[in-house]
Amino acid sequence: MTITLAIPSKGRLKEKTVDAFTKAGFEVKLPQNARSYRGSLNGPNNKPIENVEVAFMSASEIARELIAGKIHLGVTGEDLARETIAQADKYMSFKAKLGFGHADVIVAVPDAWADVETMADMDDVAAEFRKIHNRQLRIATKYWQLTQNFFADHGIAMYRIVESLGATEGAPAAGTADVIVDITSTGSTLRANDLKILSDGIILKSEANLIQSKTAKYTREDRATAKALCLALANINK
Amino acid sequence: MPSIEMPSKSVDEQVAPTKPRAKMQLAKLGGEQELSAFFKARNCTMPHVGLLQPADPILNAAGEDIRRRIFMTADQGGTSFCLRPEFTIPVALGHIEKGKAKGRYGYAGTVFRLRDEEPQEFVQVGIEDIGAKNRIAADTRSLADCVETLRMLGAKRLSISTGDQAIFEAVLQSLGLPQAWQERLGRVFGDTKRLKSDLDKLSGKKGDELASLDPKLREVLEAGDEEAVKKIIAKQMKASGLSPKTGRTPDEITARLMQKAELAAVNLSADKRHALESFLSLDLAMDKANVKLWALARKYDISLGDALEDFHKRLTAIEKLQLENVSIKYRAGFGRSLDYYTGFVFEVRKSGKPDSKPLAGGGRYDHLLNVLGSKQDIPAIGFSVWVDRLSRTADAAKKLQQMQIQNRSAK
Repeated sequence: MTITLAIPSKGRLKEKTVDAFTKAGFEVKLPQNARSYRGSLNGPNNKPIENVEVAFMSASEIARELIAGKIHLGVTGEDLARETIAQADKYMSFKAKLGFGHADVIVAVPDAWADVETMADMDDVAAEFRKIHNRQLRIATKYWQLTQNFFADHGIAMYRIVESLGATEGAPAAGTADVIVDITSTGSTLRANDLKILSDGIILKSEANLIQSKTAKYTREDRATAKALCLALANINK
Repeated sequence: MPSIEMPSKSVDEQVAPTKPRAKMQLAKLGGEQELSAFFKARNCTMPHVGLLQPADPILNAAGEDIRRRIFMTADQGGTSFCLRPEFTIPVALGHIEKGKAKGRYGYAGTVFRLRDEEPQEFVQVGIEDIGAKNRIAADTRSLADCVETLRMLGAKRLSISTGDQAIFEAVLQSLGLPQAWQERLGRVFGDTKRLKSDLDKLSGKKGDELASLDPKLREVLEAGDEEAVKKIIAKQMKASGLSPKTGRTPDEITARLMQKAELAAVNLSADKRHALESFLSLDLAMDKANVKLWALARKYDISLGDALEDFHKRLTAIEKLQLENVSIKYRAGFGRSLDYYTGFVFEVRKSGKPDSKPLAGGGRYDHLLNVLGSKQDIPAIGFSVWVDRLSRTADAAKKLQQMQIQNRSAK
């Protein structure tokens, strides 16, 4: 049997992933011709690891395929993985943080909301909002799953999600939402839009992870190979 | 106003069900005749409630969180619908649409919920009593009807837990807690863990909650200059391009900020916390609850006023029912966390199974009709029986469930 390792198919995420494997002593062999999406992996002895096949996919596809058990290992953002399915830990284990692709998923409100600093404030405001405005507080986000879980953990149910597929930070000024849940790496976009992150409003500190599927099938040998790969990648940033 | 689409023709005025689907459902419930007679004897009409419901009213009433527990779909125009997750909201919407002062509605049919360990498609039977002015009588009747419904479905010895949010609110008020705290604690009532964590926050040492405020704003805030605070916030909103017409206004933000500044210095005293916790820990036979509540009120010098009087009247009325093979408890901390539940709540379990899922649940939801768009305040109470849970205890209901499965596979 072979195990499939999925790597992002383009851009910086692909380069950084290949680099991470190099640092760990492996060499990702890119497809022989430009049309192919299959590659292989050389071990530290410079010989191909026979039971590993490398597949190149989009980051969101990697998350879905890990959940479905069609691939064994994959590199993708933790935010994407956790957004794709509720109770993500039932379907996959996050084996190694790779030190790139940093992005925080956060709750932000307008600077002018001087009275709102914490999720407890948000709870009060959400309850009061419905009484005053006769509608629920609206949250713009593309992170449905993460938002619903986080707000439920804080006991907040009285809000509505407005799906936002781009320029989420502009939603409060555009009047389409009151609050946003979005990703940020430096916070500069938020500041430019006069938004502030709640002090306990960090939902997830995400980065690229090597993730192992819990639903895929493994032989004993597959398992050993997967374990060795995960261990090697987990050690590069230590 | 939220955009609430009223389902057209949601209430059918006939006493007997005329829609074929409703008839089928009832046939599965061990006899249409029996159920129809049961509802008729209780002055209930049986409204038609479609399997496919507009999702907006349900999400507006129950909040975004319920989205994770219902089956959603959308039409080509993007309007959201869901498979009927319950009857109360559609029945209440139908009531508002009819514009009648009061109505009693019986229903029996399949509902759909995303559940981990239980079937996602199951049958609920229940009665909603909307608009009855005499709340005590309606509470009592709802409990009695619930027990009768369970009996009809073959349930034997039952154990009932009751709670009353009005008593809790009276305790908070009588302890003289600031309004903002009363509202906050009222919201988490029924959720023991969250309530405790909120009490900890209110009684513990606080950090400087205003530390992150702009220094100038803080200065005028601490000087109590409301107009100046409002001006700064309005200016900030304008600079950020926020319209006061689409969301929170400078008035709202200022009011809450002033309140927050005021409460920053206040702690929940140990005495008051003790009183609250002694109250919340009450868990005893309902016929003893009255005396105990009264004693507690005396001990902590709090007045429960009308809430206790209503409690007493309800208790007397329930005792008069002389329900057989039923034990009734009062648990002071028992409530439902949805904000439209307001008073008496109850849950029924099989006797001797305190940790099992309830066979039936009911409660007063005086705020729901407002939330759904009613201009008038309309009191309401209702209960619902989870027929699938009964099927594990009662043969009759088991047969029912089997018939349903056969019906489905025969198609």
